[in-house]
Amino acid sequence: MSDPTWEPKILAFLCNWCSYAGADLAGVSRIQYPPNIRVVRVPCSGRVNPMFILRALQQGLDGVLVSGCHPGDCHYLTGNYFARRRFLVLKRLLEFCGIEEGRVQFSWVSASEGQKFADVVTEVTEKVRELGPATRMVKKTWKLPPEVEAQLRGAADAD
Amino acid sequence: MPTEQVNLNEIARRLLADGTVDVVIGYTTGSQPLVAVPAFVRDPQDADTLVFNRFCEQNLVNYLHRFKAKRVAVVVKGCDERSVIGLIQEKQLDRQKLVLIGAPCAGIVDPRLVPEDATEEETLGDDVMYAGCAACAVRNPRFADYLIGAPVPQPEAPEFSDTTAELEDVESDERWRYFSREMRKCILCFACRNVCPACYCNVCFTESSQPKWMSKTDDESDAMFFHLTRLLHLTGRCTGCGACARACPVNVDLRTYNDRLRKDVKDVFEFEAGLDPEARAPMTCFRDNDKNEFIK
Repeated sequence: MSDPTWEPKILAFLCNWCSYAGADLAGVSRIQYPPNIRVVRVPCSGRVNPMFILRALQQGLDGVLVSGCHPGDCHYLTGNYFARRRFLVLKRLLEFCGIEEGRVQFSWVSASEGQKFADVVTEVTEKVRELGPATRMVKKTWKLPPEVEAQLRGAADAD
Repeated sequence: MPTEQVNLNEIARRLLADGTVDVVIGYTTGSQPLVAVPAFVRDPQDADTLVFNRFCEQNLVNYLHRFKAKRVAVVVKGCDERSVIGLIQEKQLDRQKLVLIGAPCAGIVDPRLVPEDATEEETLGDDVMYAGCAACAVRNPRFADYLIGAPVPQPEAPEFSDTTAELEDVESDERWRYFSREMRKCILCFACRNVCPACYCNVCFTESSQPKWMSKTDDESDAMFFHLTRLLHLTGRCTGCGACARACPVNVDLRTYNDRLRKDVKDVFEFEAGLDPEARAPMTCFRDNDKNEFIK
């Protein structure tokens, strides 16, 4: 019953100063990486409220990646240290509640690590692909009835 | 210095009569047998209505938020006292304006375990105690100004819920089954938040409409969002008083999740909420060598 055309949809929060620039470097260096991430640029990994991540899971994103500056490199000096504590608690809590390990991942990618950014995205995408489409904590009422879904798909194909 | 041991009614009368406090928050007998309800005594003549027994389950510290301008005396059990210390740490309470009347407590009766025909306290044994009370590590208040009884013995018991330990050992699928089963029960009445002394935001994320963080449908994912966020907000702040679990009308197993959170905070940040008034709350600080392995 699994959909062969399914591709993981991953939300990536990238900090403006390091990881976003790292993603940019990966791009200008023409490094290939999977097109499964949707990027949200944030000023700092410390800006990422754990509620953003829970909300993403609820809305049916298959994975969430949060990436920021390496410890010690934060543009705001300490933002990523606070974020690290928060993410640790979140990760452990989610796993304790039975959300699959790997749905929510974290990384430090600096502006000069274009290759690392591509590697991280590849790794995260593969892990999420292995886990399959998100089902846990996904809000069911947001799913369309199958016939409406089919109709919409038909309309999209007609275009 | 040993804390002065006094009679509850006498000390309440004295504090009100000499003007030390404006109000004494304590417990009085409820309208049914085997029930105690919160009481707010302002007149020294009413001091005799105060009682302390095995039915005084409410955490009265939650009321202190409403009496910030007043001088208050409050009856605290060992667990409640931890909430006070937590709030002092967060600069929500002024210890100088507060008189703590400590009540050594050997455990509170869980009304759900009491046989229906029971009307006398004496007939109830230790087996009708709340599970959290049986594992209580703070039976005797340590920072109180007065004690209203002799300290009670502190039995050895596992510090955290057994279910927490059991769930840690099983597969992710099993944990998910347990979590979703509990969350399906939740009717989002927010009683757990309302009775929590640590939940005092003027606008809770559940009520915020800009941004609108969560919707309140019967979908269990909304309950999950609520409880997970509440847990995250209580990181390093939950003292494990158990008020939320007692207030829950549908018996969601909140204790297991609170205990897991407290255990995490203890293991990872070496911090326990409500024990040391001088300690720095873990989410307001960091160390260079915090755990980093989970980050790529």
